[in-house]
Amino acid sequence: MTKKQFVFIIACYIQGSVLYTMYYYQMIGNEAWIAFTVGALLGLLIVALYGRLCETHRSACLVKLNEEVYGRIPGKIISVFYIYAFLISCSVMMRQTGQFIAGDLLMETDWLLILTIFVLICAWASNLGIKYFASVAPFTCVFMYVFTVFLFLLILPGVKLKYFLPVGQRPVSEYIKTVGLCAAMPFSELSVLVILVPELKTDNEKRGFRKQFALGILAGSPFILITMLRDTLVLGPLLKSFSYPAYEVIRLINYHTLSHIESLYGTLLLFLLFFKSAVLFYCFTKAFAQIFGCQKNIVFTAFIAGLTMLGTQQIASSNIMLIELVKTRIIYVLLAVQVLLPVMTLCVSEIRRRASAERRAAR
Amino acid sequence: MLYGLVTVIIIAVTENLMLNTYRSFGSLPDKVRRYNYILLWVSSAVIAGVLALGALGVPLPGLLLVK
Repeated sequence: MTKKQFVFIIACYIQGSVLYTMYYYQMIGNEAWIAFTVGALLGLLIVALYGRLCETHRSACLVKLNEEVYGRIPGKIISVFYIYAFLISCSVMMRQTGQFIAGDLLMETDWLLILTIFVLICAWASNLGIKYFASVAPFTCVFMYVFTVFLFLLILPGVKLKYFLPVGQRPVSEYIKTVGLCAAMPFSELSVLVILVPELKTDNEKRGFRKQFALGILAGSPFILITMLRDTLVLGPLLKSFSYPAYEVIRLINYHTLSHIESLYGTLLLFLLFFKSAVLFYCFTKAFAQIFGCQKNIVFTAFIAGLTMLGTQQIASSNIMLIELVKTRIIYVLLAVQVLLPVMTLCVSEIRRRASAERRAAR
Repeated sequence: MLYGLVTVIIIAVTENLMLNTYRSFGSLPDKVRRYNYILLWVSSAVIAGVLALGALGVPLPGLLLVK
């Protein structure tokens, strides 16, 4: 994997979070795009933290990095917290995907059946390794931009600028919570990509991680922002009425011969969801392999497939419950594990580095 | 028809995964290979056991303690 491919993987990973927009809409409706923009700026700070950690431990993935900082056993215990957060992210993603397909693309099909196939295909992609993601990401990222902008142009006649209003009439706590949610999902989820760092080809490429993460965010976030602006300007007060506004809004396109284009868009959307889920799955297996000292990720493919299926079933009893859990619990779990823990790791790492430098100077 | 297709996909993917697993283990030294096999089967058995319990109707805890 090269630096550029890594940037595209980050961008595609963020694009794959496009269905998260429904949580933002549920929280502050038409002002969600503002919260997302602020969340992306916060995301730049969060990834600067990951970048700093990667630069101080260039050859280590997340698990080895924790072991280097905290020691062998405490490092593994800290890594288990990350794995718990990855499991939650993976379960939310797969639950969303399963219910999106069962609810909008293949209606009347049992979502558990869809989930089983989806998990198996993610396992297949994960076994192909990082080369697969690296080769697919650049084209997917660019193509999704082109297609989404094209659809935006087609839906322009339905746009109403008045839907941007009212602005600033909610309690401040709602804005803060939504910005926190945007920072947690998807930006703090980028911590999973720290596992991919040792896969960069040369030592020369293992530099400037902060820049790479930042470029990834700058390449991926506008996609979600364009989608949110489109949904807000077209659906307005109806934003909260749909489960997946990013998809439903495309149903409104009826431009000469171009109608029912949503089935094509749904397929492309599905590929983005698959990309993100498969990357999560791959990093998940790699983290487990690192914890147990295995060279082959494939050892844990079956286990992770079962675990993600179980997690996806057990995370919530319904889609409404999932939205409630995201708003009340998942946001805090993700922020605690994927922001506070790295801050703590960086502090401990710096203290240890300075202490060892002082010891060397004293000798 | 749909269930037939689904069965074919599931079998094809599972067989591919198993073949890949066996092929990739071939290049490992004996001791490492044994360790990998033990981990593979133990982890698969553990998760299969939990999934079977769920399928049999045993209530399992939610991922965030609530569901």
